Amino acid sequence: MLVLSRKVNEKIKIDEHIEITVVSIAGDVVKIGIEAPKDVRILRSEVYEEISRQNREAAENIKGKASSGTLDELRKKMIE
Amino acid sequence: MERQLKMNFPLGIPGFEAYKDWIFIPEDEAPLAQLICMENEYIGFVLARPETYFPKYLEDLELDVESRKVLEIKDDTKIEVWAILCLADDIKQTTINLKAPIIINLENQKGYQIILNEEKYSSRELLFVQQDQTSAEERGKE
Repeated sequence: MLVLSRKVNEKIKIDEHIEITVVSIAGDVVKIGIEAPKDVRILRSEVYEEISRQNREAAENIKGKASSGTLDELRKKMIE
Repeated sequence: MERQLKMNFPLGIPGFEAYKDWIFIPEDEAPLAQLICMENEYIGFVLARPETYFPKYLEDLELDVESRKVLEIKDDTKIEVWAILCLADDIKQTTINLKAPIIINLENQKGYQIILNEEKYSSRELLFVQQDQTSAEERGKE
């Protein structure tokens, strides 16, 4: 990993179109500003990881349950 | 007849990034669908139409430039919005992932699981809670 030291208000440029600014530092919280084209996906990493975990759990859960009638029961409840 | 559509997820699905091709099988009677991985039929999801239980959900939903680009969506493109269900033994405990809905472009058969930045909806909303609240309200009026 490339590690750079930056002070408040100093920036890092990535490629042509992305610029990252250290907006403020307070205790162990760093506020970061990101300027990037609108078609670049920017997410807190833990949010993406949570969705991945959630997806794996959902996929895991239908294996047994789809056959054991849970899905039929759900379908019935949704139609009524 | 049951529809079966081959869908391409250009970025895969979080947790399953390697799999880009999926079969999408919407049901006629219930607002349910299945999404099955083409390369591994043991990987699949049950999806539901979120507006069935969360009527305001679609109003709140705004597609950003990035997802429009991935899905090649223009202003008049026909899309569908689905959300992944997490089944439980007790169906009342079924949860729906409203934080990361699956958007489908029916015209080019591309799909993308977007992740909303706002905190309004969680990835584990109880599916039947709202309905039960509504029926409780209706009972209260009687």
